Amino acid sequence: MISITINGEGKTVPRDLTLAALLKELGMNDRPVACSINRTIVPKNDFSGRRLQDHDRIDILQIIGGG
Amino acid sequence: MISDKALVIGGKTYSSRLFVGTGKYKTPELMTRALTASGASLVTVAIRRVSLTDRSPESFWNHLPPSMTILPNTAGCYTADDAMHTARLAREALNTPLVKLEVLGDPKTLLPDTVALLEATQQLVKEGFVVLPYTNDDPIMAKRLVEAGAAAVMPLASPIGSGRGILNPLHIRFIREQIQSVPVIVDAGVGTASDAAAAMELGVDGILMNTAIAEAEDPVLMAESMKLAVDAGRKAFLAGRMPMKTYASPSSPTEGVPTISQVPGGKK
Repeated sequence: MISITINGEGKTVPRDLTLAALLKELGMNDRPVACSINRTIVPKNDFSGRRLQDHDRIDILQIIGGG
Repeated sequence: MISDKALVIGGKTYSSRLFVGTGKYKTPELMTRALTASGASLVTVAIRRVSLTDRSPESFWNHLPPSMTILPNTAGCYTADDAMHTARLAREALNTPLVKLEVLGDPKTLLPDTVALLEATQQLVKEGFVVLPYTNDDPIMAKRLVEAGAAAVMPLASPIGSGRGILNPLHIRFIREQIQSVPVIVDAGVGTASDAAAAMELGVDGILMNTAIAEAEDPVLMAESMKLAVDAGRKAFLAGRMPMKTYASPSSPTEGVPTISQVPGGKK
């Protein structure tokens, strides 16, 4: 298991979990989201290929109301 | 009479000149009804880090009418770097080149930091974004943004959410007169229908509003009113208004009035 943070909240996940699998587990794979890991934006095409690593700081950005 | 042209931004034609924001609604259902009543073909959204236990973004997304084009904003950004990062995230999330570029200078007034705005516009245009910058009512800044490659310019009527209407109509008119190569969309500060109509009468191409609808007592009815106001203002502009005069000019003929009295001054 590895330790990561998602939006500043600590979480333990299996080693080699992909970003796509994480989003699915969080119930976020059914609508537009953006992800950055350690402040670098991960292209959507790379979500299934990108395996999470120990101490990764993940930001998941969602679409909400705004003017 | 001036013949109308379509509203085209970044190569896409928009059937409605009213763009609406999706913030500040009491419920997602109310938002859907208001957006639908407005007839808008484009809506703005924000992009945010949200707590994982907050389920509201799911409901929000499910309540956006699917036919409306989504324009992500960079609201809340106070530096060019933050705004550009936000724009890139939004592009990835929504697969859109569109961005409403906001770089704010001050949290009380939410006025744009036009120096940073210009810098971010230049860079994002290079990266292939279709940039719609939220700017102030300075015609020279508007000109600079167009030169930098902005796909439209969006001058504010008055501060975001203030509902004060157009504070500087002369400058909005200048911006419209001097910028003909891209649309001019008045964005921010519209409060009620007459503000929207007044902006359209100045000849701008469209209006973007959020609080005017979301914080009305009846947002659905206000959305309908705004749809009518934008249409009314546009038609008044295209119709070519009558000249304003200093003195009165009677609407009925002055000859043949059936008088029986002697008018002082001797007129028979």
